[in-house]
Amino acid sequence: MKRKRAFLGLFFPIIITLALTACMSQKPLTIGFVASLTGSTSELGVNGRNGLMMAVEEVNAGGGINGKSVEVVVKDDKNDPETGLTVDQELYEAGVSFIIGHMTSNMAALSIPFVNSKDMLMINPTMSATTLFNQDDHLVGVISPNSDQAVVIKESMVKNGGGKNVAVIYESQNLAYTGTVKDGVAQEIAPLGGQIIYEEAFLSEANPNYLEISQHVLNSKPDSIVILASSFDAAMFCQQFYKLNNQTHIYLAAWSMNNDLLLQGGGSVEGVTITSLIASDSQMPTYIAFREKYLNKYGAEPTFAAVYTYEAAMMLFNTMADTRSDKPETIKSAIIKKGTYQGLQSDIIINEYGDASRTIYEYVVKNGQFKKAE
Amino acid sequence: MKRIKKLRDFILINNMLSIVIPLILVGLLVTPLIYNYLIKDMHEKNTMIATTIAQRMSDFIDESFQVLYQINHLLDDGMLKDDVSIQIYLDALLDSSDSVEGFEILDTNGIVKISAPQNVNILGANRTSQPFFTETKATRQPFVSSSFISQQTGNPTITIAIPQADGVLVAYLNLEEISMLSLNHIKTFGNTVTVAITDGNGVFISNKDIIKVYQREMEANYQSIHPEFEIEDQVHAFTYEGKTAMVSHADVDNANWHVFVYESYDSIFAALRPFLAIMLLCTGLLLFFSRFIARLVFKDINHSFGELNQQTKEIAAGDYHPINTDNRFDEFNRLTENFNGMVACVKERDEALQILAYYDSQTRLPNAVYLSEHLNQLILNDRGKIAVICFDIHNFKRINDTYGPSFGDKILEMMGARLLELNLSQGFVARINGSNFARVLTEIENPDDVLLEIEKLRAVFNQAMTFNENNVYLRFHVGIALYPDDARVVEELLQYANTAAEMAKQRGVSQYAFFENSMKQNLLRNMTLENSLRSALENGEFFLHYQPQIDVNNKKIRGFEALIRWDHPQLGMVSPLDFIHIAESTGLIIPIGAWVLETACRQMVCINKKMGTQIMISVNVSPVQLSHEQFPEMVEETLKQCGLEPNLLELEITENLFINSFEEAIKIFNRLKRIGIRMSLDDFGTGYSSLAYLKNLPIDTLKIDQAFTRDLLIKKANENLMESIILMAHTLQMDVIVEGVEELEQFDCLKSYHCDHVQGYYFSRPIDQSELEDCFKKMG
Repeated sequence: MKRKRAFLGLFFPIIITLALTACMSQKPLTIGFVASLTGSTSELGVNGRNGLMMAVEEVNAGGGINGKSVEVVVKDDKNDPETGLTVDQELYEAGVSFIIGHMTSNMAALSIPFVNSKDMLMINPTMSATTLFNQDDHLVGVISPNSDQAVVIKESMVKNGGGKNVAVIYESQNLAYTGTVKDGVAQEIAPLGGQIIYEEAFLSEANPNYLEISQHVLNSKPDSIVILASSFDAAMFCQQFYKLNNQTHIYLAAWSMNNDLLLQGGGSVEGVTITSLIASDSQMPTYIAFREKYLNKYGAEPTFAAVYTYEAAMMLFNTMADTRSDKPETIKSAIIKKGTYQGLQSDIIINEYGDASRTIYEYVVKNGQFKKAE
Repeated sequence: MKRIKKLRDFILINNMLSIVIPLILVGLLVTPLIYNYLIKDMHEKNTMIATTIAQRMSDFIDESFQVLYQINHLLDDGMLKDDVSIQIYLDALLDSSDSVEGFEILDTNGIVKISAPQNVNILGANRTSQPFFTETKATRQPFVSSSFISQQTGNPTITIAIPQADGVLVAYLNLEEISMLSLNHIKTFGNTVTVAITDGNGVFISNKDIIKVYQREMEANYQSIHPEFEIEDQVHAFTYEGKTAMVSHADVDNANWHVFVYESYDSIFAALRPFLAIMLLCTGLLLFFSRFIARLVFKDINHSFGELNQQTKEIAAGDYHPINTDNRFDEFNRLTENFNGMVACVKERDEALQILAYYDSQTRLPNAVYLSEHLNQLILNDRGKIAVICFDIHNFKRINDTYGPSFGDKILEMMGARLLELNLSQGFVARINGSNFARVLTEIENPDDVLLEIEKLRAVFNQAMTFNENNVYLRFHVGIALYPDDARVVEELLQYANTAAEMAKQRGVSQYAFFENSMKQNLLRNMTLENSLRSALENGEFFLHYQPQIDVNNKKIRGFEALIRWDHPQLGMVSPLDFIHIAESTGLIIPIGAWVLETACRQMVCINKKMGTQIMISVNVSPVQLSHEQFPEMVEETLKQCGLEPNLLELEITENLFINSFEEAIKIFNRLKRIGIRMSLDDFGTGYSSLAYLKNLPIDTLKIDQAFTRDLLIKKANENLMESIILMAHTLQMDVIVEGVEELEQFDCLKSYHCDHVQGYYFSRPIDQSELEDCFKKMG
């Protein structure tokens, strides 16, 4: 009998431990991440994925969300709306309710109606087309609208004594983005008597003739040149303007703000003004810690895509933990209700539509580096 | 409570455990060793694969650099004089190369001077921010960039650069072929071992999942496997897609790339599986053999046990034979030997017990138990007629009393010896108890066989028994009961034989009697009488008759003999002959006798008082009464209570009294005589009629049995005998009463012999107390 009791004494704690362990290791929480991971806009997607992975690792290291670890299903929308819709459907069919993405505004046209129809929730890190804002939809974001960028560009033009005759080169595949910035700029400079005197669109995928377009621009004799393109394309245009010995000030949108711009642009991008969504010299401790970790992990400076995707993910994870819910509707309401989130560098204000507004910056390229404009 | 196990299961289980436990221990010891060996082996093999691939990558980079050096050489030597010839040369090189997809010649300011293939967008571009320009220019050393996805080709690409004059010579290497290396490896060698290549940041250049290359994914555990933190010979194991895999790696030094080789631990288990299967098979086979051998061994043991078990059962059933000790196990043989020893002891003891249980130690003849069991067996076998012959030594008690008990024992012993010498063939002889024996005779064809047998027995007993110079001739009374004629059960047979013997005894010594149904009825009647005798006294069923004793000279009444009568409620009048002996055997004679004495005395006091006479009363006393310790006191007390003069009471005793103990009889006689009463010897002439009694006992009156009176006038000799007895009595100072006088001639004859008193029907039959007065009046 005594021996029997001893056995029971030995087995019970083991059984209880096993049972508790079984309870704790619940089914993981799966979220989707969709971005362009290949092609000319992949820099944005890859950096976004890096930022997201930092957030996921951080949350899982802290015990997950309500005892559930987080798993990410990564999908490549190839910067193509049709592909984007397909992968969104795949995620929905896999039981995913939350999508972090997409990263480029042109994807919104098909994806947002889809998530609306399926009661999913899309957390938007970098889609900033003004048309996406103030809509009652299943989209919440951490990025300011393009109209804010237009304001920064206008102010910079005023400061640099330009803004009367503006020439604009814009990428047409991501027209949702580039179009709204262009319109914003036109809108902003109009009261000052400024106007867009020349504009030319190009398609990134179709091997654009950068030199020719650049020559067209210079021929229009603008006092300001605005390039609304990816970092590579922007760099390529800057190279042409450099070759053509252009002295007109060039303004770039936040989309171009990538390491690639500096690498590919080299000396040609020196002095270019660029709207920045992040302050790369931020001294906020949260950002410094993040940056250090990121540098260590990926061997490169974190870009705005990485920062914003990280923030978008953390906003979702924290709200899920706070509400102890995984219902998209509940999460969206909780995010809107809370209103203000602390980003890595500054506060993110969320309005009643789930849209964000936050501080954006004017940067210039100086000595091969992005520097905050004085 | 201790659990009872089967020996077979115990042996089987222990045998199996003795095989399984060492095997498990060996398994537990060997499996980790083999596992570690396999891990090490796998790691070494995979590291070799990684090193080989790394070497190939290194060669690829080197070969690519060789191209750049070749161009540089041509440029330095002025072999390519102008930009056009350079362009042509570079284009030609591109056409012939699989991996180089472009060249750029940068001037000292980082401006693209020549670009192949020719591209107006690139020509003149500023490369001052590109590390391939800045680093090469600064270090004057060959440079290899991180990988990136080419905007032109969409493929993973690196740049390599060497210093050229004041500028830099750059080549773009398309890594498409390298990116496919993992897939090709799987196609060639299968997917047990997979390969991946990353750049210095851990971003995949080659992976079995090509998407990871194009999406610029990082090796998930790159940080952990990073050479910076590596310990020599460390085995890395990480989980990929839910499976744990071992990761081996090698570095491509000239490109800061890393080659990773993955192999799932499943393959180690797969390698371990045959070993485990062999272990399992061996265990199974050993278990099978152990079971087989254990069964064989147990078969022998079981056989031995079974044999012992069987023998034990047989011995328990009374078959005491020794067990065969020829067993292959020494222990078992020893056990058997000890067992045989024990069996011998038990057998010996059993035999002794059997003798004790079934034989009489004194006569060495079978005893009553033996008789009962064997007779029962004979009855069950039902092999014809059986006679149970009961014979009892006549007056054995008297022999004991006369010669002492040891003489009696010796007589029995000798009798036993003589009976044993007879070597009886049919049946047996047994001693029932005391001097009572039974001969069981089987296979009787007619009653003469029984008589022959009785004669045979008588021949044995008729010889004198001599011990210590004392000769004794034994006489027997024999009773015979027959199976199945008289009874069919042992008890009844013995009972009936005894009854018959009792009858023979009553008939006289050395008589035999066959059991008859009347005896049975007699037996039943006696039983009824015995049962009702107990209550008869209380119920007042007894009464007295009185027979006058007449003085011969004056024909006047001398006294009366009180005679008991029993008026049984069912049976009517019962003769004293029928119930006195029952009263004696049951001890009821004591109260009955006391009642008779008291009633007779009171009656006589009453009559004497009434009639003014001094008439005597004679009361019969049984030897049982007389031998009762308190008898004389009782007599004295009765006389006092009734107020009868002691000299008016005469107690009549029979010669039987002396049979038991003559000495004791004298003592009682003397005590009674001291009271003052008279003593009379009844029924003289029917028993021993020993003159010694007459001489030594203080007898006042001799009562001559009526048998003498009946025969008195038949022969002259009888008259003489009567005269002589009367004369002898008178000589011994005794009065004489002759019983049974029924005729005047008899009376006259007796008178002529000077007989004192007579009693008989001639004068009066025994009369009721109510007639006493009339009798007195008539006879005075």
